Amino acid sequence: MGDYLFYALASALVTFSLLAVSLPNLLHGAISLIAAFFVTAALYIMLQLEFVALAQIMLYIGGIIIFMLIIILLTTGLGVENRHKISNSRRLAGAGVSTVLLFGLLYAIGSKPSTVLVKDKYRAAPVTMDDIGLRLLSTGKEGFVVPFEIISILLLVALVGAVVIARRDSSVTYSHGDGQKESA
Amino acid sequence: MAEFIFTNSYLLLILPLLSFVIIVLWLAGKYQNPAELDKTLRCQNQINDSEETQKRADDFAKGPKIAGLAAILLATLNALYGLGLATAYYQHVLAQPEHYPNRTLVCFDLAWLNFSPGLTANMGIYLDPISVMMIVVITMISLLVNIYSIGYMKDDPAFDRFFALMSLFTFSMLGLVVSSNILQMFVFWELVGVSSYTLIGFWYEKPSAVAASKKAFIVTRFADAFFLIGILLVSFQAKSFDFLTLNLPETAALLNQSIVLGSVPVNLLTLATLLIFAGGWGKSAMFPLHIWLPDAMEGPTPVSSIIHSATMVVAGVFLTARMFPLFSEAVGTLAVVQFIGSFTAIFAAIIAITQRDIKRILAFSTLSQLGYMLFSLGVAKISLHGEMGPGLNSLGYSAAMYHVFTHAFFKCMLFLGAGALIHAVHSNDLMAMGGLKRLMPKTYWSLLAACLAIGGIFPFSGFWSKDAILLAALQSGHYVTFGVGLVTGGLTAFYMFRLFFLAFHGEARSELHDVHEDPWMTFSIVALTIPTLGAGLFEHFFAGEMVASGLAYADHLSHPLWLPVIASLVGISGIGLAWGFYGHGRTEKADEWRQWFGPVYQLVQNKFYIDEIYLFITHRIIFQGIGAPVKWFDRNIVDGAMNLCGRILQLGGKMVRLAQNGQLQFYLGVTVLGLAALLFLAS
Amino acid sequence: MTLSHFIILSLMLCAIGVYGVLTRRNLIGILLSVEVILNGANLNFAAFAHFRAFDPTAGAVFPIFVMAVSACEMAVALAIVISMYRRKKRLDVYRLEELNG
Repeated sequence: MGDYLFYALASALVTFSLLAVSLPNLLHGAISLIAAFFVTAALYIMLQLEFVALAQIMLYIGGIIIFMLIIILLTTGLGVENRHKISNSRRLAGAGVSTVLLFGLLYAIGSKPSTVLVKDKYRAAPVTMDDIGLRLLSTGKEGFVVPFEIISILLLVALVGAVVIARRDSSVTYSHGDGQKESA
Repeated sequence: MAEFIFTNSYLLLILPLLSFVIIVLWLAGKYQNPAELDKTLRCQNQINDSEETQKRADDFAKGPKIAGLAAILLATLNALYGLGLATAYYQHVLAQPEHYPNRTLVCFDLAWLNFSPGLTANMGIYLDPISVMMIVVITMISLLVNIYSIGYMKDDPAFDRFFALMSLFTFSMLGLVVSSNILQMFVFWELVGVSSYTLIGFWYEKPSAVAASKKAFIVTRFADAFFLIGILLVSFQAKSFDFLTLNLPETAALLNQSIVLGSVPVNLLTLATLLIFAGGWGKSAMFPLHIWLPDAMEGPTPVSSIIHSATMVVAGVFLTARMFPLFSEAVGTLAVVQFIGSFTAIFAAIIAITQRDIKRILAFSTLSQLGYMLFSLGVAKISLHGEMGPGLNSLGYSAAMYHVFTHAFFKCMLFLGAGALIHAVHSNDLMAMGGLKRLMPKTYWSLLAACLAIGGIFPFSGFWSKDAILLAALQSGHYVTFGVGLVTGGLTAFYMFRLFFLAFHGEARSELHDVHEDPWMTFSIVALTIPTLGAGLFEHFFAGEMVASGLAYADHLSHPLWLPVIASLVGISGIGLAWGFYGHGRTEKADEWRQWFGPVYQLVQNKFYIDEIYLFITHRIIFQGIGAPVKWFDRNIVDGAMNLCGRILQLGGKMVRLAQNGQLQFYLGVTVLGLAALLFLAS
Repeated sequence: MTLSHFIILSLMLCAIGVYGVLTRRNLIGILLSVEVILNGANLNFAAFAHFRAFDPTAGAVFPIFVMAVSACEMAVALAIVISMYRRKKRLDVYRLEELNG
């Protein structure tokens, strides 16, 4: 039963991901990415990582993808931006390169079967939210408090940086927009 | 006092150099030509009111005079110093032959280049009769020409540049004549060439001036290359650059050996002296390297006056005289000097008869007179005892130096006078002049003196020096040379008075406006009359003191009385002929004769087509026959090989450049492929 | 449902993302494809945490960190996209080649 579910979810995930990267309309691509993330969340649940699944839904779908949708709408209007078609040769080259990469990785992993891959019987106990919370804030030997704090600083820096970058640069005047010249 | 003058003799060179530096660095450009300045400033919208323009014009009218006056002041100091040096030399060196057996004083000696312990070159000031004589001539003429130029150049926008370059020339020429060693002389020799080049091309807007300056520089440089080889040959053998050493009999003996050049055995002494003489050959514009001198008349007339008649062109004569003890051992070289000198003398005189450009006539006349000096040096070796020995009579030597002295003054004056005429008529063409006697009386009488002097009429200076030269030729037994000299004297008188009558007598042949005599210019011309008249007084001084070191005093063996009489008669008949043809400033009679001569006249008027022959040789033979194939080889084989290397690298670069196309996706694709390759390889 | 299945799945996601990055012309499309790659990586972490780790909590924490970092990345990248859009009026990566040699 689990195997069938996995195959179904995996094929759905691959399909949605393919759609996300190849649909000409960006808006459609972003929406199929949302679908792919939902499927991924389902896979996390199958792996007994409920918290990660929730985070996936809330952070990725609720935060990042929404953010991306806004940008798409802001810059391209309904996502129909592809005035220039992507040539078939480019698609073919991209497909070739990624296939080569895929088989390279598979070959690398398959050619040296490690004990990790062969020993397939161990299953971890389900990870609860408590565990994750304690580990994140634990100052002990195996705690993740330092990366956690660094991540929070990183977020802050990224926030400020994003504002600085996206702010209109007063030293540059733009030839488009509403025609008003920016003054410092 | 004399001590002071001798120890500080470098001041002689410092003063003109200082003048050059001051004008170039401080005075020049301070007062720009208002027309030029206006143009620039108007472009920059900096001049609005005419008051400012007027002020600038006033500044200009004042300004360049300052450069000229500074040059004159320093030239005056220099002339005084030169006279002081001459006096001190006369009193302390010449008066004490027991202390200075060679009459030579190296009064300033500075180690300049230490090549090796055995070979050093010094910078020094070498005083002997000829260098002192040249110092006096150069400083005096430089002063007078500077004064003259104030008037002549007063409207020229590049007034201050002119004076700067004149000072540079004076510095170089003085350095040349006081050189104590041959390497120093070569340095100043080239400096003289450069200043001559800049001054011939002074009006560089004129293409003809540029061409003339290039021609002068290239021709003299061509000769200087041989000079340099000669210097190397002599110095290598003598292990010294010093004239004192080079002029020793030992050096001549050392050089007097046969070497095999290719398969031809040559005497090293003859070869080396010929090579050194080649430098003078070019500088003194002897046939066939004379072609640059007439063209050099494109420069301003004061330049022609000081450089191309009085001082620089006698550098070749001076060089020969300076090295004369060495030359005197090389009989072959002296024969060449004599032949070339006499040939050029008559050759140039013949051409001068037919020319119409007043400055070119004078240029050919200069060539002719330089020929006199050189053949006089060529015949200078007369053995008193009928054999080669130490007791040589060097009358020809002293006569040549004497002629350098007198010629410098009267030829300078002739040029200045010609400049005054050109200034008045605004044309170089003799046929545009005429009837100027009334308008320019001072110039008329002064030039009459100069023409009489160059014609060799008693008692003007040229009479004495030409007489000495002819006597030297006669005594040495070179009768052909003597004959040439005599005939050339007649021709000289003829063409000079042709010029004189055509310019001053008769009626004006062109419209003249506002002809006047500029006081600055007239002063110099009149001042030069004094040496022209009075230089004859120095005859015995020159004959007695102007002796190359190691040679005996000149001795008038026997001075046949008929010689000056004949010479004068020839000169007077030349003048008479000129009077007959052109006496009333008319050319009809001469035109008839010209018809009669026909093609011969054409040949002469075109200067025997020497320039055309040069062009043929250079363009047809050298450029096309040698230059073009070599150029083809260079362009296609040498450059081709280099270009091929370049192309290959460029191609490689282009191919690498393709990778750097700035496309993020391309980079990523290549990275991914590389990663995949690593994965396949590593596992 | 073994670890190998998950590895193959995540490798496929990664390859799909690479394909997207290589072929998309729009800058936002590339960012989208990057998300696909990250998703594959996350899945891989989770799978290893589930099937192999003696300490599965660490494996669960890692995807969370990845999500946080990718949120930062997205924020900055989208800011860059905005300013680029304002400057160039287009987000066609074919034209964004100022750094070519």
